[in-house]
Amino acid sequence: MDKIVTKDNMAAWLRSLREKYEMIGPVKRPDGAPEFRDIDMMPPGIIPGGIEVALDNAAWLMPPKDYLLPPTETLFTYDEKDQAEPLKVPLAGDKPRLLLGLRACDARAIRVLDHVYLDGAFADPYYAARRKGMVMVGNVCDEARWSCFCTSVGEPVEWLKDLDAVITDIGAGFVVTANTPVGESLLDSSYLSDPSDQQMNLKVAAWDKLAAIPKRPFADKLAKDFLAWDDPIWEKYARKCLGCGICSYLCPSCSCFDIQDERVAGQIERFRCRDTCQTCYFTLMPSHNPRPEKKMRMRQRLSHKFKYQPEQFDIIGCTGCGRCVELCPVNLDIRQALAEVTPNE
Amino acid sequence: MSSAQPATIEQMKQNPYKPLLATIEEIVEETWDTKTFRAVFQDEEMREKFTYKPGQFQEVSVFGVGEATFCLASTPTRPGSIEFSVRKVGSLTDALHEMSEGAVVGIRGPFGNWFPYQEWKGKDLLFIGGGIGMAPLRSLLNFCLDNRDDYGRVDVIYGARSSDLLCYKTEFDAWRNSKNTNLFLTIDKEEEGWQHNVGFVPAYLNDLAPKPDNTIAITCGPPIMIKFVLQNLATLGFTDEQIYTTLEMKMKCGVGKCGRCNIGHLFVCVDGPVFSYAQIRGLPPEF
Repeated sequence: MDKIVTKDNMAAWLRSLREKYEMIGPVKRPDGAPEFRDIDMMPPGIIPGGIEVALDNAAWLMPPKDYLLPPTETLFTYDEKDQAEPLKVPLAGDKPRLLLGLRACDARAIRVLDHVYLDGAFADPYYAARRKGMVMVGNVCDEARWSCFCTSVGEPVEWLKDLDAVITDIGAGFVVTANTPVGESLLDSSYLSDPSDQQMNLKVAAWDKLAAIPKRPFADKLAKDFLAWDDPIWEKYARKCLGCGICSYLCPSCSCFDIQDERVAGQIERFRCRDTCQTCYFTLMPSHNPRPEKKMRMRQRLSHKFKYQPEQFDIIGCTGCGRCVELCPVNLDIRQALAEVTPNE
Repeated sequence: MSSAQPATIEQMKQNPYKPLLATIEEIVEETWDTKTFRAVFQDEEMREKFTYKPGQFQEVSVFGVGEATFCLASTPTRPGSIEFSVRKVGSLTDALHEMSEGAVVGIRGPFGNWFPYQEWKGKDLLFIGGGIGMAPLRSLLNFCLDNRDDYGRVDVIYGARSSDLLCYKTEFDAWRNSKNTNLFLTIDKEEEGWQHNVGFVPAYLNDLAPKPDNTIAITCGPPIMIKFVLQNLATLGFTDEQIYTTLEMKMKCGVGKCGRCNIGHLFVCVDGPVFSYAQIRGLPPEF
């Protein structure tokens, strides 16, 4: 189902959705940079008129995974003085969340997270609770950023179909496409009307333009067998790595975590927090460390995305969003590593 | 490796991060740095419901300190409590060693796969353990001895650097006295009064030269011991499919989410910890 909303009506439509949903989206900061955050929480005055969401293709720093997997999260509290129920699990909020402004790569990353957190004998109840009522609305990128490579790791137009609704900027307005019944319910609004054939043609052209983003030379060798264990590229690529882990903290699909205990105000809190396979502590045991060298940890991160996750879930773990390329402090470029890695014929 | 779904209880399915509370009822000092803890669930119903299979593991919490992974060293054939052996190697295990009987711990589990003991019915079993590595073998050994008629001859080769580093000494007689069961003990260096073999476990294995026919070998111990045990078993004619071990990796969640214990695309917490040598040969050499 497709509808059209004028640029003038867009803000009003989004505001109407906020009545039903807690809305998270890329909000323009005073300096113009977008920030992915709870729109309700923006202090008045910072955004005149309430909402100014960034629906263009400016990359925001933090990936949307924060809203499914908070950077730190209490798993339970333990109060030994409470004889009846010493262990308490925090409850998730009950207002459903709407994620706005997801790009195709973000939608794909959430698919990867779904496999990790919901598949298998044990589903993750904290993730599942957030994911269950979550509504995902995305937009079609107008052009690739210098760091992006989504078409080299998959088909972004297909990824958009995981979203409940997709917003396409056609210049004079936005075509909104519903993919699910929930998405259709969002479109049931007096701010939207039926699009003309010409407007639909412009939408199709925008989607075609996304699909036509040129592939990188390595795209053709992205099969699960292509990462060779003893490839000299691991050593070469890892040499200037700082091991800071920013690539995995900012990666929309990296989701490894640590679990720790903390004493807060007389009670014990067990929390989980982001972790990264790029530190030597990640696998360190009292007896030994299976990945003591940087090159091994580099191999782990790339192999996890391009070899292990395809074997485990039949999905490439990298979405080509380019955050790790743009934000690496020593300019390591995953695309360069993938280009140089030896195909395992 | 068993292909069936891991045995678990409903509460763990609902929230695998929420521990069950248990009380330490008994602490046995195995060696100067290793203790075996017997824990009883506080919830009486849970004492009946909690079951597991030899080879599975649990996460043990010391609230305020953290959590660590230990194999279940007891056997489900002796229900009502669970046991785990802890070598003092870090802050969490230090905290456990400080505990007295009556202290409260948290237990999450059982997690992971188990020894495919059902497929081994009618076979002879050869246990080869070193030091604290005897813990997962003890679970399976006691399970098999409690189902003695299901299995053929049972040989146990168990070694440590010195006699005071052997665990489970109080059970040696019970093992020896079981039907068609032999216990072969060895220590690295001569000691006054030591009645048994002197030498490394892999060398003793060669001396004993068990026959591979209709036999499954299960080994666990220090990595260097396992390495040479595997070599010597191969020389003795054991195929990769006849040899099983348990692998150890750093773990946090225990349920395949935290991303820490992978070896290639397999996670030791859900695809292991029990692996046949044939499976291990197919894994990247990173464990």
